[in-house]
Amino acid sequence: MNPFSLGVLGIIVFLVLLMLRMPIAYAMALVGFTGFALLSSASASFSMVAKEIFNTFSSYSLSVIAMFVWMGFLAFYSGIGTRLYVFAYKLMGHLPGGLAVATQLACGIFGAICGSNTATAATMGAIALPEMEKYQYDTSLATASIAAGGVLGVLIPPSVIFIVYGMATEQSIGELFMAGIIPGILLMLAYIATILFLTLRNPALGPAGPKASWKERASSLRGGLFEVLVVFALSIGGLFAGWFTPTEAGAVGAAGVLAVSLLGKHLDWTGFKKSLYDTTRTTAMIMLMIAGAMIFGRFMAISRIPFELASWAGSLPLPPFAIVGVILLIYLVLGCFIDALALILLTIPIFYPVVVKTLGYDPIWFGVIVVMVVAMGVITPPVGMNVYIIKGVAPDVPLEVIFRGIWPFLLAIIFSLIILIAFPSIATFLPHLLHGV
Amino acid sequence: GKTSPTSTTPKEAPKKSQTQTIELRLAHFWPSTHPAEVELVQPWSKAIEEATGGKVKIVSYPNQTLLQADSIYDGVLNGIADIGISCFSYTRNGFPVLEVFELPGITYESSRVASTVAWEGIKELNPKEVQDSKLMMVLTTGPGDIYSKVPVRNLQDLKGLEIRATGLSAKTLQALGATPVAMPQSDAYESLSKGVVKANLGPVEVLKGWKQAEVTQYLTQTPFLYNTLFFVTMNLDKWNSLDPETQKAIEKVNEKFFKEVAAGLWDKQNDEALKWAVDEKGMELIQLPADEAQRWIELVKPIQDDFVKRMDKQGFEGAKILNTAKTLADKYNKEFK
Amino acid sequence: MAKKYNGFVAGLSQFLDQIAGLSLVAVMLVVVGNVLMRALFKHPILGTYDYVGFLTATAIGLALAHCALQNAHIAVDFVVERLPRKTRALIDTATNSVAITFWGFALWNLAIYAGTMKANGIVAATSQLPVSPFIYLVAFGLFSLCLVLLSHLGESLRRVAAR
Ligand code: NA
Ligand code: NA
Repeated sequence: MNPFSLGVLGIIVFLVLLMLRMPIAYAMALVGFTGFALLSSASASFSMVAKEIFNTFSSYSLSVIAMFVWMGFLAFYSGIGTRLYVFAYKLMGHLPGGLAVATQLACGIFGAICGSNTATAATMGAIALPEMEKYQYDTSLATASIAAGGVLGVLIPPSVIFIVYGMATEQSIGELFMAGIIPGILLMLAYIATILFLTLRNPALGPAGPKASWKERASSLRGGLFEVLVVFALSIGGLFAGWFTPTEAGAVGAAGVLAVSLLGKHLDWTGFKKSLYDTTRTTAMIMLMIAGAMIFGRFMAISRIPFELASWAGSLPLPPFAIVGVILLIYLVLGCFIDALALILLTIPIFYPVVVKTLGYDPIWFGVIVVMVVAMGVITPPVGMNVYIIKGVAPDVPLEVIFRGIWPFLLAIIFSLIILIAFPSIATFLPHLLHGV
Repeated sequence: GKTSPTSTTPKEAPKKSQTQTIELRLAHFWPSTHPAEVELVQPWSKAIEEATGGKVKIVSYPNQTLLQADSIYDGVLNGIADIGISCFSYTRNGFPVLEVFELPGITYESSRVASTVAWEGIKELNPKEVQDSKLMMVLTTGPGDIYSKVPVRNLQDLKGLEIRATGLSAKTLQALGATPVAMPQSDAYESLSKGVVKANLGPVEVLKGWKQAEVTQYLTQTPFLYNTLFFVTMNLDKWNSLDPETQKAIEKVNEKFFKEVAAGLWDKQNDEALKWAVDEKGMELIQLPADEAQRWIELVKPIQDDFVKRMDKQGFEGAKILNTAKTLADKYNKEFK
Repeated sequence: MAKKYNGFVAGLSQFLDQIAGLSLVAVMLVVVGNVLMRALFKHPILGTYDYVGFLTATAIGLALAHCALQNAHIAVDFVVERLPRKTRALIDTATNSVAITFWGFALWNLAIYAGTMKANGIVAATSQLPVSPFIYLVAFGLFSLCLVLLSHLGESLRRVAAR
């Protein structure tokens, strides 16, 4: 069997194993291992598996996920999350879907500290999900909106994926960061519009509450919430002032929330232990899944499926915009099975020269488009990392309930993409302004 | 990429290989647009394919798509890749003798000098640590410089300055009185931009490749402070499975590519990056006066002494190894002037 | 017998999970300590980068079993849930057996990997800490994951046997 067909067969077997209730991380690792073994040798494949597992677990860059997740659970067990949502409810709760809207704003702001969509989804999930449930928000809407909101973590700088793209294409990381800001805000607005559309049509999805007076709003700031806002402002400020790096921001944030909770006596020993207990469980789940995705990605690489699809698309006798369309479609399909980072590493070397050198599109613009399309992959089934992460912080919600809520948000991303393709200057405006081009 | 039979007698080998191409997977970590891929790996692969009459075909996996940078040597030993290119220093202590070619205090005027010194030095010393794979060639970044947000003209400027560095470089900077901060190269851009660190130490190429010229303003040339050694190596079983004729053909291509491309690959990039950084990004170039440079070299001497001591303890002849590198460096600094 | 085994596995994974939690606290302390030392005293903890990697590996490796014990490794269950009880039990038996075999081999190979790293004396770049003990720890984490999966296997076998 040639590598390409073996790759396709591998994907099919993987889907079958998923349907048989094998945990996703196991299925990815198992199929990745078997495929790699068939295309090289069993001993090489075992050695690959061992390295990927240890490299993922011991990755300095990924350690940030654990820290942000802990920060989220600390906020939850200290009741700070609750007070945050009481405040948000007093502020916006009288609007239908107001809390979901507030959560999107929070995802956007959090994206300015956190460079990873995984960590953004996990942290916001830990803080926001229990609260939205309290105010009787529809589970599907609540979970899906946070899974989708995680994408803002990579569009709004700092962003791990932009760094990887910038490296692979030798583009300016600074310009890419600048380019992500307005599209990030655009996407956030599209999410908010989606939430408003859904809840206006069916108010039961996000029931509106009573309108609070400004006095009530101000008084709900008490009880540690004010301090947390200060911690948050210090985190963003410290990042910009150069006190610490985005990778360090997770630990600093967790320490800040822990300090506020302890000083304000909002957290007891039991709460502290519970926060750690939830964090180890959630991060073990996430990291084993990332390791599985890495192993599966190695198999995909030597099956050469991504490379062959990419070079096929580049050689199509079609007008430029149609080729870009086909490329985006390929990303969407591959994104269903391959994790965001691996996907960029595998495909950019082939697509980038086609789109930028042959078709003449702006490299920075293409970077933003790619990040958006790839980010779509983290919420599409069957391999939608962010959806799994939300499932991890909300174990009781069935997976299909989250996936069911995803579709409107997927449409919001597609809508934003179309706008970006129609008006490329949305992405290129800020970087050009910066460099006076 | 199925393994070819290892026990082919030379007699029947040519007949067999006419029908069978051997596909070799090559793993490295640079992006596919990087000169290491475009100017070395691709033309080299093509030359090998031609030299072996199409018998050996190399498929490149750039960008860490097959193996993570620090797993490449080990991955070649285990057959995950057939050929690998990466840094020796990613597996620290795995190559104790080869550390000599990265020691601070030895001046390399160019990457060509440093590469030639290392390649000849390895042939001369023939250390045991690289006998478990078929080393095809080595290459180096050559000298590294300090690029910074504040001017570094002397040791005083360096005192307490936060500089990104890992491993041996961190030791070097510590010896000079700077404050080394260990972080991955991928974190360096953000950290420089926000001032978490004020400088970085590395080949000038990084200024362009990692765009760090955007976030630094000064470049202090320090051709005695830094060098990184890369290997191009092949799985030994795979190599032994090739017939002698094919092996000879490949070795010929290797020698040619080492001399003509690999040895000076970084010089070309360093020159381009330097020109770009100075002309387009307006970085200021700082050259240390000879007596100042000498002071720096004196300060890092203890690291060389420490190396010799460690070698002796492990049963090698430390002084002889260090001397080999120094003598070759003197020779080629003159020869390639 | 089975009850005793399950109790032992639960106790062990809970104990390992507590060490994992401590490791995460240590990660936070090291990173924040490094930030403070760097900002206030210009004296960063040079090995931070290495320590964080090793501590995270310890945390994740040792938390795997407890995570599996709580069925937190995410799976798609809506297809299987529609099948008859017996079929479900058979499927679970099969997938559990496959998973135990696979992770068993994987942990064995991690141990081999650790062995070669130890033999070659591989250390972390800056802190000079040996790498192999942490690979052994992750291998042990996978071993305890296998113990949990074994108790799941016993449970699904019981369901196969039940009428
Ligand atoms: Na971000
Ligand atoms: Na997906």
